[in-house]
Amino acid sequence: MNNYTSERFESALLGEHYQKIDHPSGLSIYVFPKKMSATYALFGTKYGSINNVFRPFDKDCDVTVPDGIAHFLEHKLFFNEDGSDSFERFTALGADANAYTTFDKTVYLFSCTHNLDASLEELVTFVTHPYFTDESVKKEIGIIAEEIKMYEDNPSNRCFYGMLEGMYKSHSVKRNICGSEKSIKQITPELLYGCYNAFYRLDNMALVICGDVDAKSVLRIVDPLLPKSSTGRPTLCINENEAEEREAYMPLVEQKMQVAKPLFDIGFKDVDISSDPRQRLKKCITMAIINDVLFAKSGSLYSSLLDRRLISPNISCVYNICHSFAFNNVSGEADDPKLVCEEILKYIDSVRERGIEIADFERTKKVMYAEWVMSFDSTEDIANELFNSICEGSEFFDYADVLNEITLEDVNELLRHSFDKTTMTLSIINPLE
Amino acid sequence: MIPKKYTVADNIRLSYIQTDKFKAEALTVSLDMPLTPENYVLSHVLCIALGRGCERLPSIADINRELDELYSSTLSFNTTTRGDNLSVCLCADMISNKFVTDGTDVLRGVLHTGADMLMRPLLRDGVFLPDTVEKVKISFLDHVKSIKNYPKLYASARLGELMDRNCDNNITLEYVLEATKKVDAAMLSTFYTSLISDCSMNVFYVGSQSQEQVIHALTDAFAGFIGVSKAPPIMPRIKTPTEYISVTEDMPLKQGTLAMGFRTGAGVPENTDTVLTVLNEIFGGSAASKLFLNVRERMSLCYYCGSKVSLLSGNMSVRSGLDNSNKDIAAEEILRQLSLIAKGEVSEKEMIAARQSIEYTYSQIYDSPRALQNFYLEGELFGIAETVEEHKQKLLAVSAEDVCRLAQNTVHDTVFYIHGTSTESEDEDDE
Repeated sequence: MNNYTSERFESALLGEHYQKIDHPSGLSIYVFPKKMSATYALFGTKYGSINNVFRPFDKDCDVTVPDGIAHFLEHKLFFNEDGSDSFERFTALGADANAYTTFDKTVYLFSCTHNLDASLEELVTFVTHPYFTDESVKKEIGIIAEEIKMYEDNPSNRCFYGMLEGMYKSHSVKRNICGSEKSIKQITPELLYGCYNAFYRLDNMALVICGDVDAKSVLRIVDPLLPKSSTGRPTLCINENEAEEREAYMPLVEQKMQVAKPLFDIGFKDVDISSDPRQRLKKCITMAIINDVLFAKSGSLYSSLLDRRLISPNISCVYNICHSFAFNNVSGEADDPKLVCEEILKYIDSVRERGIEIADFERTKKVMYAEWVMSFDSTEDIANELFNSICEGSEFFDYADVLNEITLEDVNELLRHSFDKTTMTLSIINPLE
Repeated sequence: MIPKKYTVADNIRLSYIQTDKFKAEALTVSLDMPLTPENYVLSHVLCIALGRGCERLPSIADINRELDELYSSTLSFNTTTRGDNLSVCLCADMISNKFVTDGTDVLRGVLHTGADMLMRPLLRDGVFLPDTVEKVKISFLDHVKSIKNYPKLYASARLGELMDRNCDNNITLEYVLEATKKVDAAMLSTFYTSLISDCSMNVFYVGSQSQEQVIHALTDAFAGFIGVSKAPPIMPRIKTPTEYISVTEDMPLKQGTLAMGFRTGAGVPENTDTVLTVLNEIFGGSAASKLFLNVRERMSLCYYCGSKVSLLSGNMSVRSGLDNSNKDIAAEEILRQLSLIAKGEVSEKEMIAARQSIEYTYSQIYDSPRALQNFYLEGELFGIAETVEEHKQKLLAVSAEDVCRLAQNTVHDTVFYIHGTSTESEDEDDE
C-alpha cells in the first residue's frame, strides 16, 4: 500500500478492527471493514458553527464571519464549476448522499450498495474542489432562509436554543447553526472561500469508510485525487471555554409558541473541560452513567414524576462535551416545568447526599456496554462515531476499556461537582394562550 | 435471508431468519384485528397501559430494571395499521447471547417479560385499575395534541383526514381526542380480553439462535395464550377520487406548509404497487426527483418538497414548507411536474436514477433485522410470498411507459395548507 504509514486498531471483544492510513497530503483515512450490503463513507472537517472568529496562518489578525457560514458552505460545496450538482451525480450512481453541520464539524457522506469506487471518487473530488459564485450564493439564500424558518417553527429546536442562550453570554454555541435570515444575506463567495481555505485543509479533515471494503482498494481510488504533500499551517481558533464564566448567564428563558403543553430544556453548563481527550471521554462516559441512574425509566425519579402526572412519558438527559464546550441537557414536556425543575434538583441533591448505589451503577454499566456493542451493527453509526472520536482525539475502541475503568467512587465524585444550580438555565416554551 | 415459517401452536405462528450477521436481534409479536375507529383508540391506550406494569413487575421502573439487566433490551407495545387491519405489536430488540458476559439467556428473559406484560397485566378482578387508565389516557391525549406542535406532522395528519373524509374508517384527530376521553376501565378491559382471546399470534424473529431454541422459548413464554387460529385479513382497497377540497388553517408560524393529495388508482390490490413506487421515486421521492430539482433547486421556493405514497390505498401526498407568497407558484409547479410525467417526459437519466435508488433501498434491507422484519411482515399479512430480491426485480422491470400511464390516471383532489401568520421580524433577533 505504497509507503504510507498505517496503523491497525482492533477490538477482540467485538471482533472488529479498522485501519488508519496517514496520507502524505495530511489527510487521515480510516477503513473499517464490515460485511454489510451497504458501505457508508464520510469526508469530514473539524469546522462547525462555533468557528466564526479565527486567524488563518497567513494573516496577522482575526477574521470574523457571519453566523451560519459553515452550514451555508456545506450547502454550496455540492455545486460544481461545470454547473452540475454532486447530489445528482450521487443519485445517478445509486448512492444516497447527504451532509450535515454541527457546532464543531461538517460532514459530507454517502451510503451505497454498488458503484462504490465512483461514489468515493465523487465524494473526495467535490469536497476538495470548491466553487462559489455570486449567482449560486444568491440562489441558496432563498433555500436556507426557508430552512431557518422551518427550524424556528419547531418548538423543540427553539427550546434547545433558548437553553443555550441562557447558559452562554457570548460563546458561539448559542448561535443557530444555520444562522439567521439576516446573517446569511451577508455571506459572499469571498467569505466562503476564506472559510474553506482556513478549515478544509486536509490535515484538519478525515475520510472514513465502513463496509465491505479494504484499505488497499480505498487507497487505490483516493490516492490519485489527493496532493502528494501537505501545505500550509493550522488555522488558529480561540477556545471560547477559556473565557467562559462558570455560572449560567440567565437562569430562565421563556418563549411562547403554539404548543399543546409546555416544553422544557434544563441545561447545566460545565466549564471543567480537560485538554486530554481520554479524560474527556472518561468524563463523558461517567456523566452518561450518572444521567442514566438519575433519569432513566428504571429510576425512581421518572416513575415519581410520571405517576404524579408532572411530566409526559418522554424525558431525556444527554451530556455533550467537546474541547470548547460542555453541558448537560434534560428535556421533556410538563404542565409546570418550574415545579419539575425543582423536583429534579431536590432529587439530585438527595442522591448526591446518599451516593449512587452499587446495584444501580453496575446495572447501568451493563446497559452502556450492551448499547455500545449493538451500535456496531450499523455502518452509519460506526462511521459517524469513529469520526466523532477522531475530532475528539480519542481512540475509538477505548470506550469499553474506559467504561470498565470507571468506579463507583468516580461516579459519586463527579456527581458531587455537577448539577450546580448556579450553572443552570431553565428554558421553557409556553403555549400561546 | 428468507424467512422460514413454523406453526408453534394452532394460534401461534413463527417466521424466522437465523443469521450471525448482527450483534443485536429483533423480535415482533403481533396480534391482528380489523381496524375500526374504536379499536384504533383502544389499542393505543392499551399499549400504553400494558407498558405501565404487570403482576410480576408492577411498575415502569421494575420493568425497565429487568430490561436493563437483560443487557439493555427494549420492549415496547405499539399499534400499526395496514389498510383496514390493525396490529397490536410487542417489539423487542436485544443483544445477541454471543456478547453476554454472565451466561444470561437474553432472548428467553425478554420473551418471558414480554409475555408477562401481555398476558398478566395489572388487573383487579379482571379489570384495569381506574387510576392507571386515567393516567394512560392523559399520556395518549398529550401525545395526540402534540402533533399540532410540528407543522409537517400536522399537515400530513390533516391531509389524510380530508382524503378519507368519505371513508367509514376515517380516524380524525378530533375523533381520537373525544373518543379517548370516553375510555374507561371496563371498555379497556373488554378490548384487552378480546385481544388475547380472539386474535392469533404471529411472531417474527431475526437473530442468531437456532430454530429449536426460539420455538422452545416461545412455547414456554406464551404457554397460556388462548387466542385463535389466524383469521384472514381484510384486503386493502384502492381509494377513489373525491370532489376537490381545499382547506386552509391559520397558525402562528413563520413558514407555511402545503400538503397536496392525489389518487393514483394503483397499489397492492391492483398488483400495481411497483409502478406506484417508481412513479413516487421520479416525482418526489428523492434528491433526484422532479420536485426536488425544480421546486427547491431550480426555483428556490422551499427547503423541502417531496412525495410519499400509500401502496395499500393508492393515495399519494406531496408536502412542502414555504413562504406564504410562494404557495400558489409552488402548487402550480408541483402539478406541472406531474403533468410532464403524464405527457411522457421521463428521461432515461431519471429512470436510471430511480432504478439505482431502488437497488440501493432493497439491497440494504439485509443490513437491519428490523428492516427485514418490516418488509416481510406486511407481505405475510396479505399472503404475498415475495422475497426481497423478487420484489426488487419487479420494481426494476417497471418501464417509463408504465409510469407515464399511471401519471395520466392520477387525480389531484385535496389540498391542506397551513398559513403562517407570525409577524415576528428579523429585527427582533438583532444582537
